[in-house]
Amino acid sequence: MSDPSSTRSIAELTRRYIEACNERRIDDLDHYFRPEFVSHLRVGDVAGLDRFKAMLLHTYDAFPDVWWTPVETIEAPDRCTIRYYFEGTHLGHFMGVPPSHRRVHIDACEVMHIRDGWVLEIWNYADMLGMAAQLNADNPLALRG
Amino acid sequence: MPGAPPESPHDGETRSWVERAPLQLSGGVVDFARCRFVRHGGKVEPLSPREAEMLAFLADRANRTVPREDLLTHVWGHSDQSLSRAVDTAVSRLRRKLEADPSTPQMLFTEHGLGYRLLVDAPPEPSQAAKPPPARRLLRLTDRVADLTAGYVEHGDQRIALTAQERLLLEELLRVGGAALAGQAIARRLEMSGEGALRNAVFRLRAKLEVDPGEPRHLLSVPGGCYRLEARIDAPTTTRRAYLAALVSLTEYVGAVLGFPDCVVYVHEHDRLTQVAAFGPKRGPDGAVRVPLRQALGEGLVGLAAQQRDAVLCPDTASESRYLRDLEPARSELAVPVVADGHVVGVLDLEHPAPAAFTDAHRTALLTLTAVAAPAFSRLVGGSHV
Repeated sequence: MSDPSSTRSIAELTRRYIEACNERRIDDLDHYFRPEFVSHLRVGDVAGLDRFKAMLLHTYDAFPDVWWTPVETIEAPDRCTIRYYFEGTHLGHFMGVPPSHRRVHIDACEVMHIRDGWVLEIWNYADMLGMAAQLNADNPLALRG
Repeated sequence: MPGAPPESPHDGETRSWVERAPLQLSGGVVDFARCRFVRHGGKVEPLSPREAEMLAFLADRANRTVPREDLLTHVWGHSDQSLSRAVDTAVSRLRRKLEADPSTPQMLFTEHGLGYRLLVDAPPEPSQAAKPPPARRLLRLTDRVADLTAGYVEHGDQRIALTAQERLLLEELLRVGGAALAGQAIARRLEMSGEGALRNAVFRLRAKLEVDPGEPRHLLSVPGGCYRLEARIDAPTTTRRAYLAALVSLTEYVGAVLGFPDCVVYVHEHDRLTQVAAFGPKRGPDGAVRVPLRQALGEGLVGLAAQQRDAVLCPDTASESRYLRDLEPARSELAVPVVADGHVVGVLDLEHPAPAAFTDAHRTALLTLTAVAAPAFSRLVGGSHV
């Protein structure tokens, strides 16, 4: 039987990855990501699929209704860039901030490095300043008009 | 919330199902707060937000047949019947998570040609029923208060209802903490037909919020077709214990997700730096520190980072005289100060048994992380919340 990863398109891979995250089917990520996969975030590198899954669980706990909505994808032979937004209600601890019960909505962008139908690396550019401002209105980082 | 207006998973509104009490079913418990179904045997099935919302909708109509069209309208947020297969697919997936044998369901039934029925055979436990209602989000205005949770403005004895769109408009402006937002962007986010529709909505909303809608003090127009909100939500009361728990979760994130084996959080109180949370060898019960150390500003690499308000990266502690050995010896250390409102409120300290384990990229990343966490430190050492 042929390896399904060899026939799927980058667009399909990206769609399935976002769907799996939204549907909380984190074990399905095994079908799209190599175990040695690395996610480069603004707050540090997450090395390995297991740690990436731990990060997703942390996010689900902090934002039980979190939802990632893709807005645009740009494909190249071994790259895919997704522009998307992240939204959720902050009901659990998140990066040291206790639950604020606030609704958070941030813009983000990811550049994925893909080879032979598998995601090897992701560079994530999320609006962390916007996240910090929305998690706490008294945050010194909050924008003032 | 029975009778609530239709909400889609992407409409930006705080959803009532997230904060509802756990739902007891014959095969287990739906934990809405954590979006999961916990089987009686202990197995956990994660639920998507749409699945949780669908269960909440069915639970509000427990033991009754709910037409597929109602689910489509209220959970999916649209009434295009050509999409009703989406409901069938979602129910089928949900059944696989809930039922021991999806081919002979015991909880989620299909009533052929009619719809779906959720069997709820146990009333809520008293402790669940007594769960407090969601925290109220109160917006203080000149002579009135807007309750964004309940959706009305209280003005003397009067209660003026806010529409779902008006609540969304206020949430959108609150989200940016007083900054101006372009009308075009707001209209797009709220899926309005254009800026004209937004102007009409602002006009109607001012009549509800302002003492003199002609001279608004809160919902302000800004040159360039922008709007901003001059009002704040009452901050929720958070205890010192909750802030400490949040800092414990920060060390868990740094340790388990970012993969640093030894991480300690210090807070700066009464001119001393005190260890309050740890991941790794120094971790005690509940994430606290086994033997908490206290250091003065300028003492050790942690004290140095706090004193100079900048991260200190030590590639080899063997050649660093200012290195203070803790429970476990380390060969490299990265101490990152947490700065809020110009004050050092804490330090995030990482140690590693190998030399040169930390790089400038780690330093930059952790400065970003501590910027997000800074308000929690600030409130903890400020004391005003206790």
